[in-house]
Amino acid sequence: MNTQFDAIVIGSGITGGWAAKELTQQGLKVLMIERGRAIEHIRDYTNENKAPWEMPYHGFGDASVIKRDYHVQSQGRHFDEWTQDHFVKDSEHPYQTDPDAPFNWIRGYQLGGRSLMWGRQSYRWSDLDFAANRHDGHGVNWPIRYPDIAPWYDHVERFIGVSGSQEGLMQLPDGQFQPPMQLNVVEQHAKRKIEAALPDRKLIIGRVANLTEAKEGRGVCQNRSICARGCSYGAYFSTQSSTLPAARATGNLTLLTGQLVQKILYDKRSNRATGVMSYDAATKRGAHYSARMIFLCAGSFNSVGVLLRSADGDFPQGLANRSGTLGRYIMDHANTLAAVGPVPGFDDRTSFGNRPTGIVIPRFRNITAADAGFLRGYSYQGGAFQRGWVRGASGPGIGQDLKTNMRRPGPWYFAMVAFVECLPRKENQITLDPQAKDSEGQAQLRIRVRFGDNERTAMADAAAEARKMMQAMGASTDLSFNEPGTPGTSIHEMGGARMGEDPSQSVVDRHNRAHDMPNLFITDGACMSSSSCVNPSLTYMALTARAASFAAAELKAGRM
Amino acid sequence: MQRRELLISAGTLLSAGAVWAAVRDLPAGAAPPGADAESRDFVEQICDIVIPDSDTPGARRAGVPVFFFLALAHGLAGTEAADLGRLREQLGTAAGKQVHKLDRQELQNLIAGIDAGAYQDKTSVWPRLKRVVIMGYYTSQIGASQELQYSPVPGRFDPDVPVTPTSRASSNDWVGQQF
Repeated sequence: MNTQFDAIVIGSGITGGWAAKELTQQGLKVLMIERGRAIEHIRDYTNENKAPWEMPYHGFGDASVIKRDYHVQSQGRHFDEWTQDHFVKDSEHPYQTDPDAPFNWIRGYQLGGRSLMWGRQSYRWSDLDFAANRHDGHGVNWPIRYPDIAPWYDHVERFIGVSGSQEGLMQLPDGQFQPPMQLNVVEQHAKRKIEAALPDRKLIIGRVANLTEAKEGRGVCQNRSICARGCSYGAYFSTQSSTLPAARATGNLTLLTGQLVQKILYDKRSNRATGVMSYDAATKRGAHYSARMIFLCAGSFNSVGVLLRSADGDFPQGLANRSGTLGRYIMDHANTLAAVGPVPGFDDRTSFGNRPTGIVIPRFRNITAADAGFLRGYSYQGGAFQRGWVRGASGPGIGQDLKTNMRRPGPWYFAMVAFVECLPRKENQITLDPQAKDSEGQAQLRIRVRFGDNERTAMADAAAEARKMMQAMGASTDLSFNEPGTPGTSIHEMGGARMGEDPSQSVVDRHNRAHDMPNLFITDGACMSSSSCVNPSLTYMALTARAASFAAAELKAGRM
Repeated sequence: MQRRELLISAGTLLSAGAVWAAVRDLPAGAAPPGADAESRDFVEQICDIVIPDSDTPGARRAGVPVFFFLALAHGLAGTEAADLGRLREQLGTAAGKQVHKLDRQELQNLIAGIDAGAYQDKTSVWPRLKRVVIMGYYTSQIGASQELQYSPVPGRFDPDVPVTPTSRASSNDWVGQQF
């Protein structure tokens, strides 16, 4: 096969797919390299339509295998027996942590990466977020602001399809939305009560990359809420349903799966990245591919890992790391179950269908003035639901009484999960472990991330405010946690190759281009300089599309 | 017969005998541990007591005993293969005689007594064994689609639906199943 391309895209997940789509549509010949196996849309969603009784373990999975091979991955909300094959085996892809700093690194190594089983929540950042580092001095100043990225949010939303409501909130900008999904009867009640009692907040439907209107060969969401199995309707955004078909349609894409990029090659004379060295785990053969530019989209930590492993005489601390910041300022949203409890008065109501999103209560702290004992903010996701048959296992009850009770729709509950912005801290770092190797013989990543006092103070406030809101809607609170869960659990890990204006303080510039060489772009979550308190994937996509447009223009202008 | 195929057939069970015949057909090494005739009879009774037949088949006829042994062999819901023996021992001690000598009503009364107190007793194996029966039943074809409502492709979301005397809970409300 041809080994010379205009661009190499490393990774095929949410950002890799976007880079491939945008660059091929600009006429560039693109090689997209994915380390995992191929999963073709529809054909390879092998468990999608199976009923629980058609699964070997009724959908719960083989507990002994999960304990042995998936002890971290199974912490993810979308992991089950149907989706198990969309997650890595922890036993095959280990990483190192310290006992005082556990980290849940949840991953999927396959074509489409985590786009296959992501949470699909899609939110714009506001200037409250992009200006936060400058405002309070934590982290490096973002060299971009909302107007720089707003047209790219438009571009991405129109293509992927995001359903949501227009709310006019400055902290959560509106977008190019498809019609919103609906609040259920109890959420409608909660919205009325919370907004009346606490006028500084809103309860809105989650903005989600599931279609409520068909588009471009993709069908509308069927309200199954089994997205992570893969969706033959193409109703949620994934590489397979959206960006890959678009890239393939150009005739400009070459796709390789099962090829692990070990190293990005660098030429000192031209000061350019010249290509990649890859390794095929099945054939045990190495390969070398060349390109005029590289888009590194391997997922935040693996992108940092590739750069660290690409260290050479010119970059002894990792490629594109003259700043010394590569691998530092790692973040993940601190999250916890801020409150959950029963909502009385709705036993005569139920709903039909499995809506694939919940509610959001956008940030209300530190919006127009510093009004809390911590910096930045938090938001909630969750919603009202009826407890299912599993409640029958949580207390006494057997026989016909149990059966009769479980037959009826269960009691309504309301849950609020708080997502707290994580400050960028230099000491939160990923490095290469000096001893431990992975199954491919590469140095394992060592991850050290801990939340700090600001996250803990904000989390305690989030829990207290959640209880207030439960009270406002007439609900009681059964459980309410003040402390964040293990870092990584939000699956929003980001940072490590942060964006900034100053080459001595950051890895990439305002166009996601490495300060240290003009043809290397890092556009996944590694580029993030702060974390906001909303889900980051939409921002990764917008930054990738923006960077691809810039890179293609530079190439065409002969400046690459 | 492969295990997966066995469980599919268990979900469409016609008779308990057919299921146990299928268990005997498992490849060497795959047979559920502890599935001797006495254990099988014991588990079938437990399934019947936890979720009996009514206008729909209960746990025994839904094939849950097979799922039960599989679950214990693989540690589902924190169970261990030895849990069944522990329960028999607990019941036998409470009854003052061996479990297989109890008639059905005696066993049911004993289990009702254990069930009433087990959730305050951290050492009791009963809550996790009952959980396995419940998990097996409501994910079986009978439990999920006859006893409850199974709508794999709803096609729409109705946010506010009146509950009527004939309303049945959804077996594929995935959020509800987490709590």
